[in-house]
Amino acid sequence: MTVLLIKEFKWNWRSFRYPAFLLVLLFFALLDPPMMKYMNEIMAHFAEGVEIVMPHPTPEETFFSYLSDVSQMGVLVLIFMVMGTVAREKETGVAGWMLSKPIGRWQYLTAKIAVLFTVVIIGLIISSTLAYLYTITLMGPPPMAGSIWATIALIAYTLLLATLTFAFSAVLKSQLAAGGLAVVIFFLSGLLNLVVAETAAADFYPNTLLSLMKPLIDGTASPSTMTGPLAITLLLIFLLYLLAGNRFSHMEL
Amino acid sequence: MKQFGQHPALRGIDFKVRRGSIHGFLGPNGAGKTTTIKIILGLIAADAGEVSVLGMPLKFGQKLDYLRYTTYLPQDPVFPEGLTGKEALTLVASIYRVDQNLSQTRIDRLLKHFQLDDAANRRVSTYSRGMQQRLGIAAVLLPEPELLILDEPVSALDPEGRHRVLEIISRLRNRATVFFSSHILADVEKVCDHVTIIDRGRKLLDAGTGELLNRYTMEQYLIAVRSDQQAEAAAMIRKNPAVREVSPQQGKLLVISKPGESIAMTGNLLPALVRKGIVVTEFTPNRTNLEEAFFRVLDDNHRRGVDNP
Repeated sequence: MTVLLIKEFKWNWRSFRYPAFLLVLLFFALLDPPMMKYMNEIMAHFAEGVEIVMPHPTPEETFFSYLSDVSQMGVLVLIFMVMGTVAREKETGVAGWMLSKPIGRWQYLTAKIAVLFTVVIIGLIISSTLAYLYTITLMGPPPMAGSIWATIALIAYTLLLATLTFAFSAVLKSQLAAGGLAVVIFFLSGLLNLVVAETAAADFYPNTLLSLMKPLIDGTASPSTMTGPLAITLLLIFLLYLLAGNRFSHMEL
Repeated sequence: MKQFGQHPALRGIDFKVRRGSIHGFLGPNGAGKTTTIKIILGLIAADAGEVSVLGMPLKFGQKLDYLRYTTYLPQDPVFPEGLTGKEALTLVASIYRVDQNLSQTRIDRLLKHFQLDDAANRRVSTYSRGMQQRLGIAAVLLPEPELLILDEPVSALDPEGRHRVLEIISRLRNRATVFFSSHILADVEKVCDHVTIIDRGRKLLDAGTGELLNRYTMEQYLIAVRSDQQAEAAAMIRKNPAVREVSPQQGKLLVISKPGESIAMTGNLLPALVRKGIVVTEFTPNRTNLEEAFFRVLDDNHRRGVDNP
């Protein structure tokens, strides 16, 4: 298993997939706090002669702005990073080459998803820590506990999208189809959230995790409100992995 | 049996490969060679039938124990992207759990043997097709497996590379089992103890290489007669019921018997020619090679197909 983990990490690192994702996270971690702090000056520069006065952003809003950007742009980059994880190896014949060796199909998939989850979790922890520290430096401290809970919500949601893309990559023949479907579901789930948010189903809908980020940072929502959507998100991650693995086990390569 | 949509890829193939032998697997393009190999490796599922490798049964969708002792070289060798030649071999050694102290020595030796030592630290994606095939062969030899399955192992190699690989395959005889498909029939003839020929998903022949060559040698005779009698002799030979084909070849007549009638043909042809006053100066079996035998097998099969559609 260690061999497969190393191979997987090396390939993703050298193909610039993981570095690209980490760079996007760092970009938002380092860009959002100064953007928020100097927003009035930036607006004034671009609209000379027009006086635009925006309320001074709070540290809570600044940290939320970073989380929000990652939950959109960061997740899209992640989808592009993950879509070829299995599908590309099927296309090039590498999957057949690997699986003609004493490697089980579940073992092959598990190594891939383990490395993927590790990179996503570590990447988000590092970038969120940087964004948090930078926010403190520029604007004062946002509530630490709330920021941690909001980051956990973002990690869970990101892992769900990563697993969804991974599952498509495992069961479909083309990486473009895998990525395309994941993007469609990403946008549809966002649209559906507008409807679901007004109903009791919101307590169990994964996108509620994103809606809860701001109230969690502010302290207006308690961490226990996350329980429903978080449990469903983790369950979906597990089920998607099981379904993809089961289908992949019986797939002709 | 294996069907892809409406297209039957395999319609009934059975063969055994003797341990320690070098077994050639032949057939024209689209005959079902790669499909058969992929079924053996558990990469695709057979619709019906059984496969057992090294005494262990194949169960599609489950981890196959015999893969621990089996290596496979695909027709177009591929390696995980981003790895250097040396890293690719190290990966193979780790997957097959080759002892770490041993593996580095073996890897260095193989890289040198296949003239890849200078390119060892370059990414495989920068290698030429020939270099990738040499690396692929190094990879299948590295774990010193019990069974090597090679799909067109020398197709991209230059004559020297081919010679080296065939020499290595020959040396594996009685130490490992080699099952390989090839289009280069002269290579198969050089190294194989046994051949299986398939066409359109059906097994046509399964025989020892020597036995196969002898069989077809005994069915072909070269007959030399006085030049002014050649037309008369050819016409007479054609009338013989055991004869399938007569054609001129380098001033002689190449006579091919119908399958299984070579003894009858040789028994009555010469006396009949002599009785007619034809002067026969040569009557010898025509030594055949695997390529000729291969085409004869395919040809016989096509004729049978036409006769019994």
